[in-house]
Amino acid sequence: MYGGDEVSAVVLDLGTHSVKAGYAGQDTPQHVFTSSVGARAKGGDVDMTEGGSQSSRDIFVDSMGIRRDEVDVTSPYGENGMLEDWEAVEGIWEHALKKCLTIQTDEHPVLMSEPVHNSDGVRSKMVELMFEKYAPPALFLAKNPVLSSFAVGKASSLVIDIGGRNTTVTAVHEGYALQKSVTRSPLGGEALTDVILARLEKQKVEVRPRYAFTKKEKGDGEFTVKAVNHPKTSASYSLFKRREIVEDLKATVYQLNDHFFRGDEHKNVAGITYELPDGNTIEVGAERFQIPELLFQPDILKDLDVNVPSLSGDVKLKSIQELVLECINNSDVDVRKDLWGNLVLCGGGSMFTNMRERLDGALFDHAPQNVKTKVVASMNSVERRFSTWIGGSILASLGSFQQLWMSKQEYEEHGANLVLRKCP
Amino acid sequence: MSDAKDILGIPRGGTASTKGKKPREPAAKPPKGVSREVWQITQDRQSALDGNDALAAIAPSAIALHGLKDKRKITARTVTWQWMPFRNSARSDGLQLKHWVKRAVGGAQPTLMGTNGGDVGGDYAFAKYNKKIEMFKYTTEEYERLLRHLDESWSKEETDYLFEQLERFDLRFIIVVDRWSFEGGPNRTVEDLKVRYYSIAKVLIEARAESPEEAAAHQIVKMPFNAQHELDRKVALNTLLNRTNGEMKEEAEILSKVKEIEKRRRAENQALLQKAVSVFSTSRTHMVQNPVSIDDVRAEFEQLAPELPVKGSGALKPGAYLRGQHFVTVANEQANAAQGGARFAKRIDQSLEDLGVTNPVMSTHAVCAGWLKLREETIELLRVRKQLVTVYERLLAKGKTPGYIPGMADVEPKKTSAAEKAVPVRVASSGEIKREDSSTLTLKRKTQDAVGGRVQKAQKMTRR
Repeated sequence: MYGGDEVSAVVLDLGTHSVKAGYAGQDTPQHVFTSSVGARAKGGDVDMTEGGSQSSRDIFVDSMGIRRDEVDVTSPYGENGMLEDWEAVEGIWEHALKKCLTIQTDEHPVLMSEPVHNSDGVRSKMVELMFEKYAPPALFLAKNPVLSSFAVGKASSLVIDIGGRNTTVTAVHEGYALQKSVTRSPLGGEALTDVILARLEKQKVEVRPRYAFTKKEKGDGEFTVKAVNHPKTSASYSLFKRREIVEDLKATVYQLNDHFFRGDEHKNVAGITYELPDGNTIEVGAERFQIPELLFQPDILKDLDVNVPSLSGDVKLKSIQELVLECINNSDVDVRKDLWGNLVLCGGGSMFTNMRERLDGALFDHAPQNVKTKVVASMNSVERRFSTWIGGSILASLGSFQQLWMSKQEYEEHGANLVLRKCP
Repeated sequence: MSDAKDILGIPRGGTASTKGKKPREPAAKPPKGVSREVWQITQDRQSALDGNDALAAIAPSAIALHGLKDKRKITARTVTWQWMPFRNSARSDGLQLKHWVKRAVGGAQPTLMGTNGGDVGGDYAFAKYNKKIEMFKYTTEEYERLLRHLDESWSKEETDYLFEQLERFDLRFIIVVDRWSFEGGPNRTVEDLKVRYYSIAKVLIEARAESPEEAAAHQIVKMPFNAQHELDRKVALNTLLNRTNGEMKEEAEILSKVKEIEKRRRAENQALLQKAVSVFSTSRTHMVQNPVSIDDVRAEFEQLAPELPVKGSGALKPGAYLRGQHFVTVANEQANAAQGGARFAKRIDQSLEDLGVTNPVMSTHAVCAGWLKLREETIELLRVRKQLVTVYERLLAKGKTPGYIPGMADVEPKKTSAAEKAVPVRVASSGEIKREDSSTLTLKRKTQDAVGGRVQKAQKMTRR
């Protein structure tokens, strides 16, 4: 590989929706699993687990398919989009490194991704936790938009990441993220899922999670569906399972209109029927254009008249084009031309059809007249969803990157705060 | 070679060609890899140099080709990849990561591959890419000596912080200002940082240089950093970038509307102008002719003058009379009343003749009435024209040129007592009508209009 050097580094990308893990130098992550973990308070004796961890909860990672009683589903990410639940983080790392990749952690340098607005405290904690628990020979923390920018081969670009929990727009200049230009909005993939779920509930459609019924074939393609009662299942687990179903619905049925959506345009559009796992069919009409349109016109939320906890709040929701404009206007004048010409679209939430054309159209009127605007969006869904991981894979396998690692020796000499200097 | 000579028919050699074989030269063996024919060609070069052989060696010598077409030699028996630790001279600590290195087991030396991650001469292949940007740095005593009082708003700590950040980010000011967080310091803009750095650099260059010329040769001294220029440039760039596509669209729409309005207005103006020009032209043929019935015309004309003149007129005579004659008398009376004298009367007749109106042949009431009215209006016209001429002459005498007025082109100013040369009248292009004497002008136009209309009708009448 030209310019590349295999040191068998491991790239670990802990996103708000899913965790991606794999070896550097590969073009896709080997292991992808959800970043929501199950946590159950330990009852009775405290187990003497390996390593003597004193966690008060059992953490179940990537085993959401198994229903367990009294297991709460939590995310390691907190309210403000930074890692908070360190037990969950540890559990995830353990699962990814030991169970999925099955590596000896002291032989492989680890590259981790972090949100661009991460605070210094959280970064130091991440470094400390990793070095103490797994003792890799070297470590590096890279910012998500920088990695996404590298994945499309650009050193300077404006990265529009429509992730699970929120949408982040960042300006990357010559490989460094400009932190003062970052704009965020809680309108991400999960928010849209919640809106769809709320609308379905309003229409009195019950989305039954898969564990809540059994389906037996009677013969001739007929099924009997029997409800199964599991009283001890926690509400968060039930919500998680229902969200899973709705995510599939969202991905298959919902799409973006190819131009600005007006409510009356699609009144007569034919509905698409979707069969839920329990056999019920639902028909989705004009809403399938309306709900993804929230990204571009957050005001539609009022028309939908649903109460979504993550979207309610005093802060006025901003549309994507507003976020982009704000981000560009917060950057220095000299870099704006580069930003306009390199708008990188990434993240799972950007996989709606027509997303690139819509963004182009929405930004055209606000773009300067003499600057060529270009939206870069890979057509490959894997590349768009995992662009952060892919960027990390590229970065960790570069020959000229090998001098930038923060080594264990440096950590022991200077402490975890060295990361603030070493990983800009 | 000999075959070629045979074919060509050239006698072989000079002397003793057929007799006895020349002792054959011990044929030099061709080196390995060179075929026999090629070798023979090169061997024959000596005779070729004598000029005997047409086939001189044009191609490079076979000896020079050695090595090019050699079969690949296997330098090693087996090639293995080994997972080896390596040192990286670009790192400051002793971290030894491991990577795959190609090694040959048995045989020649391991092949060095500079770009494939292989270590070149013991050092890491990519260490040579660790280039640092050239930056000016001051020592503490230099600071004390030279820089302390350069800018009072910068403390030493802040300046140290600035230089540290600049080194970290390779003089990328935009990123430095983005990550700037110095407690207790004011908010710094990009220009502030640049000003501080470049002023320090300038002082350092001048202090460190051995001669003033050397210092002046450096770019930072030659073109010092101009913060104001940068700010202005940024403001200009900002305005340029703020001309968004949406605004351009609106502007384009507005411009197209304006163009339409302009076009419409211009068309209207043209029409007006045409009308105006047509009025002033002497031929009246393009005036609109509304078809009217002859009875209406006659009725109209009959009201212009009463059958009988009013009391007190000398034309009244008792008893029957000839209408025609009667009206002529009235006309003469009219002319006399206008106070012009005989010359004036003649002028009236002259104008009527110019217009092409003869004395009435068939003296019907309508005709005579029309004719009388015509004369009346002609008198009015002549009077007004006289007035116009006097005013025009007066203006010319004063030295003012009132511009083009149709019919006035040949008017010359009255000769004053000083008998000056007349100011030549400026004949302007048609269409330029100054608004001098607008009152007379409009009056003139009105009368001309009316006269023109009546003339047409009169002509119609008389021709009947």
